[in-house]
Amino acid sequence: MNFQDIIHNLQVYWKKQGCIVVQPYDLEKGAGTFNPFTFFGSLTPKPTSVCYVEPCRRPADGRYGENPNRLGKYYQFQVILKPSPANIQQLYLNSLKAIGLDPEIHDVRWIEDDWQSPTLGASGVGWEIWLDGMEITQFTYFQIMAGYNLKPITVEITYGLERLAMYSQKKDTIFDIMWNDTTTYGEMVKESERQFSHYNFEEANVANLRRYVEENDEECRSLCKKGLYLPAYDCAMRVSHYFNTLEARGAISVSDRTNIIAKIRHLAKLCAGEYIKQHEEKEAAK
Amino acid sequence: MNALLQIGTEHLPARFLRPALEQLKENTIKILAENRLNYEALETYGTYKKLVLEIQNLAAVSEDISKEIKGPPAKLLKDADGKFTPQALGFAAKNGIKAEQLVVKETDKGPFIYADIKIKGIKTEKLLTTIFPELIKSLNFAKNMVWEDSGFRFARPIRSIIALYGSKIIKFEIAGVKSSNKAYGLSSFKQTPIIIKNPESYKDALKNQIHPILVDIEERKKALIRSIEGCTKLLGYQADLDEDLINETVNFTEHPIALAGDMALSFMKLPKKLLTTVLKTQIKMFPVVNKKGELQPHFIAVRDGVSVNQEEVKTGFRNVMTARLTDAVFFFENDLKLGLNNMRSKLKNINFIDGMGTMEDKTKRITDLTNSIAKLLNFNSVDAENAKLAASYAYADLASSVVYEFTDLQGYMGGVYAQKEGRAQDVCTALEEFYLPLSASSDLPKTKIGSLVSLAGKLDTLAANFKAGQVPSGSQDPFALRRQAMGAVRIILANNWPLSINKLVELASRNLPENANNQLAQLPEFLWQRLQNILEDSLIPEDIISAVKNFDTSLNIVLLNAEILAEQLKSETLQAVAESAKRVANILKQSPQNLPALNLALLKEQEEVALNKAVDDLPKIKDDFKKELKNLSALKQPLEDFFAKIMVNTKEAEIKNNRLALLTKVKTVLFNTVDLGKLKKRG
Repeated sequence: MNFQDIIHNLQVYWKKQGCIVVQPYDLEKGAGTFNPFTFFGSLTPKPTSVCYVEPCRRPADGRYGENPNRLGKYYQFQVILKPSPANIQQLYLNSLKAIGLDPEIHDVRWIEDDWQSPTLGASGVGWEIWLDGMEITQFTYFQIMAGYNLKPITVEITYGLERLAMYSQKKDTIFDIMWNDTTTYGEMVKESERQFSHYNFEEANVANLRRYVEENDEECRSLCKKGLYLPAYDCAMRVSHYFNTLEARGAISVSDRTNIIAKIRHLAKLCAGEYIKQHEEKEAAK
Repeated sequence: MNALLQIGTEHLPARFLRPALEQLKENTIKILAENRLNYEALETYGTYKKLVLEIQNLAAVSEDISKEIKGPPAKLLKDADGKFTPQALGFAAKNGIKAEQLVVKETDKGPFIYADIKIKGIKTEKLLTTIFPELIKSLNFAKNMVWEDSGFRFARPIRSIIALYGSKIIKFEIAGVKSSNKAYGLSSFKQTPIIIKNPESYKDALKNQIHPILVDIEERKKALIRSIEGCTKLLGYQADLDEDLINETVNFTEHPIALAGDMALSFMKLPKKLLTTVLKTQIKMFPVVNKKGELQPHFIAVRDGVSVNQEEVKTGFRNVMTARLTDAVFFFENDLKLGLNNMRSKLKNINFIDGMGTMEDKTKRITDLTNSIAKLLNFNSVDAENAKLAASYAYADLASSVVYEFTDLQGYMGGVYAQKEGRAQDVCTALEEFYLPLSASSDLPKTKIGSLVSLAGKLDTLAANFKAGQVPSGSQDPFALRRQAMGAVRIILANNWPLSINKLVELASRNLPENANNQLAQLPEFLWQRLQNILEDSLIPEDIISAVKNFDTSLNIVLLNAEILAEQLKSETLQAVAESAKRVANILKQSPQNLPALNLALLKEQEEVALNKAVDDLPKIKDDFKKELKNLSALKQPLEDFFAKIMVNTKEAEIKNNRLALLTKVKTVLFNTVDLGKLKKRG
């Protein structure tokens, strides 16, 4: 199944399960969990079910488009459901059928893997799911987000789209994946991988990046004070991305790292706190 | 009738299964006893999706209680107005009955108020509606989670519950799940309920599905091994049936089915343990070996309950394995390019423990320590040089990519890299053996040089931790120092090396940095405790262990002395000598510090003279404790006669001091090797 058809079929499948098909959020992020629908979506009792493709940028993982199994930018497909339905495991297995991978004839294994994100102050319990030995999905019941204990519990399903496509198309490398019938994944991304690797490892201006971190940190705090948690959270996401770029650039010492992670965690908590407060006020006013 | 509880969950981590089933069993035994419910037998078993409790012949009703409780004297039952007194009311309330139900009974001490308690047994059917939920709540896991609104905590979500007493469903609800008689099959298939008619039919009902589930752990284990052996027989080889991997696999499958595949020959150049570690720990596959135990280019993977589409699945497994092994080859080849010298030079960037320098510093210390001990033990110059060389590379592999990825391969990889560099075989083996023994009873280094370097590494770790104030206490032993100390003592004893505790501590602490938290003074006793454990395990009595305790005597001699003393004490004569020795020690405890020398002229009494002569007549023995003890028998009679007739504490100070001087002389021969005064009387 072509890369684009895997995405399409997952969207159709989860749409049928009642999910809103959201478009990718237009800021750099290291993982789909940073998407505001996931982050804010998990925080209050308001039910939510959404799915979306999310491009993820991991500057340090880039290899100039030369290593066929490492990318600085790749795609996740995320499903966020709250409250978590009782038949969620079955719903997931059926979604594999929708992309041509029938669990009845493959080996599907759920390997204990508890997720945590020190930058978001978040953690969850769940599995990585292996299909015939290959890790294709991260399945997590969120327990804590931005330091807040969650109720009700959100379930997050994150499909590794490239892995699924490699398996489905029996390709040995990511670049050989067929995006559609005529174009490969490699043709679509190689040049971007090459240029961004140069940027992330060699050209990114460290002084500027440090300044961006400080500016966005400051702006996030001041926006939170004004109750504008959504633009504030954009700033927090930017801090996280600039931090990742600084790290790829080799400009982060061990103590730097701890400090900036703590800084982002604090920003996430400020945004979450403001959102929860406003949500509760709205509920009380009803 | 039989009872059945099945907690149906989403996939529990394999490692949680056995502890949970043990708890379920223990907690059931306890709760049934508390509820006075009799039964014939009970067992727990299950899979990663089913925790099961089966109780055989559970009584239909709990036992009645009938007991009488004595209260205050009868006169306190009612007051002058005929009303119950506060005491009577209080007594009744305490026992959960009304005052009207109190009775008066005659006793030896007059009439007293009694509460006759009679509690009728309760129907099991009713009790189980609370017992089953209690049991589910009672299970503790290493980590819990919440998944639904009641906030109930469990290792993974509970999705179904079977609760049966006979054919009747015991009704309750927990975490939003209502109990039923429905089981569910393998999770990769459509979830059609399997109706369980009664507890007896449970196991078979699950086994008789189109896709059978083996809910009994032992049965599943047998099926796994059978299935693996079926595959390897076709290949003409055997599988490396690693016990840990077998147990893990049994606990993440409901019906294990093995599948064999092959691997590219190019991976066979990987060191054996590296290859098997990747297979076993990263992708949970069984390596394949020939009769000699040599690795073969095949693998065994295990599927859960499905045996169709084998070729495609096999290709999938093979690709994953190939990717992981390719990574391993990449790491390994990079390490070979780097070489031991470059690895070692990276050790200056790796800290040991706070205040005790880097791994480079530690390397220098153990090289020096190895050298000192080799001299003490009179190693020949070739062995001493090889030992020093091995010590100088002992930690180098910590800076290798392979050990960074697979910590368990430390030492082993050092040995492999040394082989590849063509180092002396003794050096390679010593590096490979460096971390042995891995546990209190596991294999020691086999070679002399390996033993020495391993000992030096352990002594330095112990001394450095104690010097930094990190002394294990109770269950707190984060650096596993007890295991390290046990390893050190075992190595010394196995090699029969003449090294005393004080000597070891002195040598190991020589080159350590200063530290404000220094607790080195506790190290000798800490090492002694390990030797004491070994002596206790050889059933040496406690008092003999105290008698031979000595930090300046070589450990091997201490052990030997303990064995000799235990053997010789079978002689009643020696027991009697030991009794007298205790008296000698007790008397001398109170004697003044500066006694005058023994004056033979002052020995007037026959018993004094005889004792002195007996001591003088003892043959001079060196390094033969057995003979020494045997000779001491000659002192039995003179000592007993002395204590029978002679009063040490006479009024004449001169005589008294001279007798004390005589006993001091006796003591030097009695206590020459061990402290006989510590021995208890033998019966």
